[in-house]
Amino acid sequence: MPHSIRGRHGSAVVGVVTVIPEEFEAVRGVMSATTALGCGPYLVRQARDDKNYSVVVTKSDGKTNLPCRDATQELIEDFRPPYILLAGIAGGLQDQDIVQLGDVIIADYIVYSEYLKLTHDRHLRRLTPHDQPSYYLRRRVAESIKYSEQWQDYIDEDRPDAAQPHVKIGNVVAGEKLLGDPEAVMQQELLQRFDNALAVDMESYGFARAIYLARSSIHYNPQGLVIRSVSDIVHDDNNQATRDQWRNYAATTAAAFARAITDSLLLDITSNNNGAADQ
Amino acid sequence: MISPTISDSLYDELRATAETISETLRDPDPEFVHGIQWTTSYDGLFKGEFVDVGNKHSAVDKALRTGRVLLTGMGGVGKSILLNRIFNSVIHDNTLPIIIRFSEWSGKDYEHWQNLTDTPAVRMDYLLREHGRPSLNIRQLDLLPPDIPKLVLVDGLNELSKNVANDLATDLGALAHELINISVIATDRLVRRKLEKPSRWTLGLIDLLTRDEVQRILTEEVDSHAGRVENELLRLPYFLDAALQDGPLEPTRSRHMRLWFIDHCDLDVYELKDVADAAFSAYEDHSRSFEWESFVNKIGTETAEKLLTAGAVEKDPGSDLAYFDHHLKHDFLAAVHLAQHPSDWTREAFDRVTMRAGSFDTLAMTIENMEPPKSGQFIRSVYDWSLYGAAYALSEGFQAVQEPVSDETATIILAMLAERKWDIIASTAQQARDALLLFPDGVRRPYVQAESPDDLFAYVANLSDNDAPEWFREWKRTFTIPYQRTDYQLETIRGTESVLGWTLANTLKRVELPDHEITNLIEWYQLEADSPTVRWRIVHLLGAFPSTDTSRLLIRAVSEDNDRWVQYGAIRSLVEQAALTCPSFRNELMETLGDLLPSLPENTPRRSTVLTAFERAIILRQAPPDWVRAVTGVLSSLSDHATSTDEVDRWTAAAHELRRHIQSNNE
Repeated sequence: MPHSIRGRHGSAVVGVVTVIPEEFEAVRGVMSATTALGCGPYLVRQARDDKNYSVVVTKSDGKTNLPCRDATQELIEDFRPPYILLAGIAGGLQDQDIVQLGDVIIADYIVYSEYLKLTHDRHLRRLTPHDQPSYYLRRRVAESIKYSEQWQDYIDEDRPDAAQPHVKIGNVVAGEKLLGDPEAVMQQELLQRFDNALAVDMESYGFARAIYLARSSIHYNPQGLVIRSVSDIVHDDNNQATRDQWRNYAATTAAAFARAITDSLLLDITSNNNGAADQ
Repeated sequence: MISPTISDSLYDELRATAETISETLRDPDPEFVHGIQWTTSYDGLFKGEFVDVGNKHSAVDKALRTGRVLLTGMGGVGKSILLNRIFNSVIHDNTLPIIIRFSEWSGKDYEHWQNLTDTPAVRMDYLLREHGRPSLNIRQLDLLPPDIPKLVLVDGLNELSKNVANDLATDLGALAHELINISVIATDRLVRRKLEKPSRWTLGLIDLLTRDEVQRILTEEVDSHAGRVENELLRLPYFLDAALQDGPLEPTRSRHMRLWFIDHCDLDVYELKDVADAAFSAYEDHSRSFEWESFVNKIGTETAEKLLTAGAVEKDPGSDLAYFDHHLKHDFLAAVHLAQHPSDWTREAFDRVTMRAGSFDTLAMTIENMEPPKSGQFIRSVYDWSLYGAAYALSEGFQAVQEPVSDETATIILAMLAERKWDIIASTAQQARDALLLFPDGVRRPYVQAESPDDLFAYVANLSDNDAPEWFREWKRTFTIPYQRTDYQLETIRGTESVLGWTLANTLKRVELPDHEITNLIEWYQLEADSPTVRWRIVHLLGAFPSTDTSRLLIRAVSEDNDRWVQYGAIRSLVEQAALTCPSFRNELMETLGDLLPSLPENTPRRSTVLTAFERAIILRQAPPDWVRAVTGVLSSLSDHATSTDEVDRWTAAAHELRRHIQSNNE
């Protein structure tokens, strides 16, 4: 039997990281994680004496990669979950025939926009190591959920239009700046440079970096996945208004997909261990 | 996933070694109880605002729960004994303890550490291998079963130079995060360290023994001590133990130590002097250990044998290194030397005996070995090296004797500290407030209570000086220049009288200096090639006078001056200038720094000094509205030119900390 891994405040099967309040509320509701633990910004389904939790939800202290990295690191140290999800909203980078508002984007590759710096006339390459989304979670879990529409049953927010969400798998760009000005030179460069990416956010890199750094122990091999739902298209006019209109729905959609993944992972464990941790 | 068989067998082996070590760890008899007061922040520690009380068991509980505990306490309070007790207790609770001590830390370790500056992961490995007991490397630590708690006990961050101790505090936090089921407990003096993820650290103050506890022990062990406990030194376990061995204590640490060396080592006054001189020299590597052969050559084999026989010195059997059995003995001897050799009251000497401002017991005991006015002259020399060093030494002096220095000297130190409460740089203001809180309440109160610089100047101006010596009156006139609009002599800044020179350098930052005096200062900087202290004062003063000429000088000082304190002062002054000036010049300065700072040569003390000072300086007490935008360009530049991901993370974190600080100030 392998040795068990626990964190400072117990163990969890799945850890979910959120950033903005809407994401936190959406995940909390969809996951039924409404019990606060007193030891940090953590919500679980029910308190347990043995401190073995099925899912723990946390919230980053702020937007951008660094706070998200810190929140992920805290979650890792406190619960050492083998599976960690980042669930929330993102800006779509493609036209409507490829990416639509409310679509779920599963990252297969995270590109940090700061890899390439433009200074004067030179491009500087600045590659920093970080994890990429777990092949296991994407291929063995997310892709099978993608083809079933049942995950949509967890969406409890009204959609601003009459369409249905689709699940797309592709590159996500993680930047450090909030995009939304189609005229801005930086945004145009980003869109040109990462023409293949489906969405952009400000936290995936921090999340991925935390998971990469957590591999400093031979005993711990966390699997991470980025789940985003499109709340706006960055190169559209009225981008901010669109985001305001779609934010809650996109947050709930991402949370719904994260819930489906969580259920699938917990089902595996229940079948193996006959009722470990809270369901 | 590693095979459990491998990790279990490694654990069994290390545990057996730890059990052997446990049998050798000193645990004096009779046992006294360590009380610990707990808090969650350095603010709480300095202000004495505690949330919980406990003992060694609570230290372990908190370490296992949060991963990181820092225990602070005075010299002699029993920090090492407490860690020994924790080691011995957890080994019976299925926890593997590893203890790291610095008694054999030497110049070679500092050199090695310097080479590892850019590789924090390797530093911890080095420490565990070279100074850990049981000794192991970091991969072995990770290989151990993850369900077995591992507790790393670090005895004395204060035994190291400030920079190394700060590095180590960061590395311990990283260790607690990165490896599974690892917790750390470190001991330290009461000095504010920059802790990564400060919310994860639990801070404790190891109490002095209660008078009842002292009474109990004395009554049980030595009948003749029945009665009230008069000597506060007895509340320190080191001295209580001494009293139990040798009888009633002397009133000060120094007097006790002197008698100890005379009685236990059978040293006469000449031998004591030789040992003191040698002990002072032994600090040349800024470490507690020293080369035994060289030490013996200085004191003679007969005296050396006396020290060994009495147990005052312990020699490492595997090398030529030796160290005193308790750092207070080494500090006392160095203090004896300093008290007798004013020619050694230099910046270099103070750097050495304090291990680059890591530990101030030597300075405090030097004061104990002197009386006013000599103690005042000493403190003023220390002030020339470091205001905080003078403050820490003096605050301990107040605990040892009622009037360690004259009222006038105490006033100067306290007033100069208090003025820094309003320094533009937040960490400087914080450090000043921390240092003031170390003084007894009756001494510090007017300086803590002053709500503005004018309040402070008014208080000092109103102090009676009828019977004071002329040097104090002159200082008072200089200090209160902004308040009383008195004349001054700019040349004083070049003088050898350190207190007046520094007072003027600080005071004139609050007045309008005419252009010709600024020009003089710039010229004097060039002329003072042999006096780094004067150059430091000049760059310090110029921080308040942003202009093309002054900034040009400061930039030159950062990139070309050979003295690290001048470099330090210059970069802080550049940041100060940027904060005080108009937005366009601010941007110009920041653009210059954005080019200059990344270009500083890699792996040099200059780069380390300047970048560390810059990182601290950009957090202002009150920042202009465009500060974040102005500074972020420099941080981006540093990040872009970083040669390691740790460096990239460092500057990203600095940008985030800056934004967070501004936001919390605005709320």
